[in-house]
Amino acid sequence: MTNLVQRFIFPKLSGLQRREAISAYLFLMPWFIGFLMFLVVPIGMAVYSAFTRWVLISPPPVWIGIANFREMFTTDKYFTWSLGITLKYMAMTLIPLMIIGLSLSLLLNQKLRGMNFLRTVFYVPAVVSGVAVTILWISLLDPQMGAVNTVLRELGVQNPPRWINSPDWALPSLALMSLWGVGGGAIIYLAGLQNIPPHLYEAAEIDGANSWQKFWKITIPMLSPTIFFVLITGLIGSFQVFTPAYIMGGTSRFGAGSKYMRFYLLHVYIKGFQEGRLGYASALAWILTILSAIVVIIVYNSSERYVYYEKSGEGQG
Amino acid sequence: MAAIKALSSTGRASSKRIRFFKRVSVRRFIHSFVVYAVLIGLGIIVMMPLSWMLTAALRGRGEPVFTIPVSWFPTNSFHFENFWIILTNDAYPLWRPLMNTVLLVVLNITGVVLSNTLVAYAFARLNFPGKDAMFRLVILTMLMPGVVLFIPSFLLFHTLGWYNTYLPLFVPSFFGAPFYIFITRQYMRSFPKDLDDAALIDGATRLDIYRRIILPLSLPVIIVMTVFTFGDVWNDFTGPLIYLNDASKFTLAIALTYFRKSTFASGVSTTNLVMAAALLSTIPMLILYFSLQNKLIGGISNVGLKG
Amino acid sequence: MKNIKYSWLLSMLTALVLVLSACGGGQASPTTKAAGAEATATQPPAEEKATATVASAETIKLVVWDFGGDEFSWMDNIVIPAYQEKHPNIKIEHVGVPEDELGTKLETAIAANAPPDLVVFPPNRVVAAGHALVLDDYMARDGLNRSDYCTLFGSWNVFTGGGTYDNKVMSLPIDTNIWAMMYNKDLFAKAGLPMLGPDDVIDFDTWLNYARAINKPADKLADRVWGSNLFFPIWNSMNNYMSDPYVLGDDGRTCLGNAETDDWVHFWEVQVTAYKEDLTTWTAGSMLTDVQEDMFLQGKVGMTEAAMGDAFNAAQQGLNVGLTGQPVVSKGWPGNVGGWNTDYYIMAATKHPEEAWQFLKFLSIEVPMIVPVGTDALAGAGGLPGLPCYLPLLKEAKFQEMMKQNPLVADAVKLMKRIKLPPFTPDIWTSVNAFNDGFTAMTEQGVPVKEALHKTAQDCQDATDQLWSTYEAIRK
Repeated sequence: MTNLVQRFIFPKLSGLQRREAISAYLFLMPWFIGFLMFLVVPIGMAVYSAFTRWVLISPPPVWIGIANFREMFTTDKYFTWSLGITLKYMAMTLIPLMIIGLSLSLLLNQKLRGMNFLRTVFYVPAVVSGVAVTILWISLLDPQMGAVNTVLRELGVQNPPRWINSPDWALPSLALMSLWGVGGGAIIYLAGLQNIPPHLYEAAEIDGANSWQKFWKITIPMLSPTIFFVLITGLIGSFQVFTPAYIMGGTSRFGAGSKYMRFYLLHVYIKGFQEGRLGYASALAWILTILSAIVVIIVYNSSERYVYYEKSGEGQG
Repeated sequence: MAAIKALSSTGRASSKRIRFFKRVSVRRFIHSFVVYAVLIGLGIIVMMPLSWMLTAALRGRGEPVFTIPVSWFPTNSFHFENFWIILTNDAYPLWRPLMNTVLLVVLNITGVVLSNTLVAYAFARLNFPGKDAMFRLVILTMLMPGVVLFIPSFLLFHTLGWYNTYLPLFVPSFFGAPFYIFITRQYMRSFPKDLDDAALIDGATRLDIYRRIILPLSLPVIIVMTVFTFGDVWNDFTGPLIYLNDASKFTLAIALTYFRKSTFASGVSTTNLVMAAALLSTIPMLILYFSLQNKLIGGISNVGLKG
Repeated sequence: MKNIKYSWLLSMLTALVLVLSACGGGQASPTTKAAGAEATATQPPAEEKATATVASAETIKLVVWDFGGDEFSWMDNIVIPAYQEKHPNIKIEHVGVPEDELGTKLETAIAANAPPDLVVFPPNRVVAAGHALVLDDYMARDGLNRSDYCTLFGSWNVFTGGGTYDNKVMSLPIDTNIWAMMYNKDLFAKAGLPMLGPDDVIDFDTWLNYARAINKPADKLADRVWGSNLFFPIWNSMNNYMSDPYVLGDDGRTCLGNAETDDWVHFWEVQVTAYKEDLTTWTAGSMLTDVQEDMFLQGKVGMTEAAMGDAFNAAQQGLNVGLTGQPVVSKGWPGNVGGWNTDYYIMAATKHPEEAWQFLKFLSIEVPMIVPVGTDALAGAGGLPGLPCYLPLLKEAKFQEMMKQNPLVADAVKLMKRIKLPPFTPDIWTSVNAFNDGFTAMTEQGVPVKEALHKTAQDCQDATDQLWSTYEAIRK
């Protein structure tokens, strides 16, 4: 690139900044090309299909305007219902699981012997395949014969919950299954914890700080980028819960399963793949995208206040 | 006065007065004890379901897997040949799907590590016009549920002629993923900027800085990406299923589902084989995770804040 | 700098090599039984027989999709070698696709213009949209009559996959299976209950009384005996037309009214009673029936829904079992048995309809003779779980012997004749799915049966209307 061209494209930058920008764009190439090649076209199609009636094996898609959206807000009984289930689950699990995950990784971060083994122990649940995990938990949570209720009865609980059968305990059943796998995400916290310079702790000790102060003044702030990241991805993930609901909710090609586990994405899947209505499923998915975008933007913008980055030279946010 | 006496190390009488629980060695012991107790206690609870799985996996053909009372440990059934059956049966020998899966895993990890570190580096350490907007775009793409892009992507790959090949299953990994870009950027942002500046002054190019300084420092987050990618590809089921038509190309995740009893089959339950297959399939990932843990330690301790 | 360039180059080259090897398809499959290699028209036939007559240039490849695994292992082990020996110019590629995903995979393959030649249990949409080959002409030409086939051949829905749709023949079945009731004779005897056989028909009041007689509550679960497993209405009474009128009415479109008759109200009241009195092993509302099966196998349950293979297996495990029909919802209604066929369909887009037809005929008429069936199948060879649907085969010595040796087989054959064919509806499962939640409302939430039933019938109606409108938009 000649200097003339560079000056034309980025007139406001100095030469040094211009070179930095060009390097940056080169580094960004992989993502940008991927975006153009693999995302733009499918996203475009997904937008278009939201306004059509489309069955995969019976092409072509037929334009029907906003009929899908109208149906969603009037006749689809499960639209608001499934949104409610999703939000309820999010409220139930997002923050608690984050706290538990963080606590667990703090424990696992101690420099004691056998930590490698213990970390692996907690990681195993995250690795077992979905089908096996489901059979496992359905049998553990069986109201009559399952191990969980057997233990509860021995502890004196008279009428233990009927778990997956029961409207009130269906979501907690899923939450329990997620809790079992909480060690799988610990690896992210661990990476963040390793990133905290030990000299900060040493300096604090010299100044006479106790563990509690060290935790709140050093660990948490230094970990805040990681926590923030887990929060954002946890939020997005909560909106997009699918596999556990699909498997545990009893959905198969023979039916949609219990409505108490009908998460929003499961509803999308049922409409799109079980009933074959790809256009309607697309419309549903876009509503979810818009909703989660709003939430994420709000959280992201407020992050300036509580996320701390190394100050040297970098801006905030 | 008493305090000063206690702090002095003269005279055994006074050191005995140091309150027992203030002694560093005791506190350290209690600390370790509590940590171990909690972790081992929780660990046992976490392992119990897995122990049940193992018991189920060792059941013989036709034996009931669900019993009263619940069998947590294998006590009377030790059919280890179930594992052998899974690996060597005639109808669907596992070595070929296993090799296919390993190939895909290697390709994907390579792509993920390369592309995401490159892209995240730009967002984390460089300044350029449009940086914020672009990053927000990256985040926004994370919001689209995969389900709805599934069929359009499928049709796209079909138009490209990639149907019935491995291409749709690894090429996208070479172009970055929003999730990984996000975490890598977060991680890279926490290094002091002085590192870059110092290297620049010494005449290094951006690529050098990336390769020699940032990349090695990012090892923890690279490990995170490696472990996650390994898991995703190892267990990925829908992708290979939809894009591959030849049985010889199928991956491990698909081959393992053959053990699941079909709704239409009647007679002998195969829960034991399903559990055995699931357990077998976790072993490579566990080995990976276990061995990579040590590399997680290091990080910033290698970075001196020089001057 | 040189180091960077060198290692980058090396990694790129390695990746390139790997990519090329992946795209190329790799080496041939090691198993000689599965004909899974990349067949091209010029590929020479298997070297097992040193035949002087090398295959002519015209090697035809047929792709067959089913669920794979143990239950279809007879395809690789017995059928394909036998067929290829007879027809050296035909190469059959067998692909196992996991059951829950077969529909999606088939539809994407159709969208990609790469469907298989033969496939088992396609989604009803696929057939409605005209993607399956109509077989009436082939049958007429080759002298096969519908009347030679078992009852289920005349019906069509996603589950039974019976042969005809819109009164046209779309598939041929290999085997047929019954969905009936298996009971523990010892528990029955202990409770002083009569032995039941294939000609007996009971209703749900009788079922309730029997269950009460057998049920033994206990403090320790080890001593517990349950009266019965739950007969999930969606799998049984609804899907298998065990009520009169049919739950969706004669036109297959109307839940309202038909799902709420007095008979049905009574049925649900019985279910709620059984639930409250803790007479059944009912596990979570998922499809997981393994727990119920295992409980029965340990002699802890009086009655359970069962297919033939379940009964055979129980007998092999040492239980004294009998086979009879399930309880019916409407008194006097004889249809107390359900069932299904394993049907293969030919895709209309196939390039070799005639060869596909020949193979399909082979599957339907000859395969039950060369593959272990029923009780033999359990011996471990992996055979067909059901009996032939092509009725003339039942007169053959193989099956006559089987019926003489094992009374359960003879009972199964009798029960097969009791099946009543339900009216057509696009997707019975989605239609009646609401009854799962309806039952939860009646039991867990204490909603009165009639009220809950009416609401559920409304949900069912909405779902059914939607299904019919989609269906009518795509049907050809």
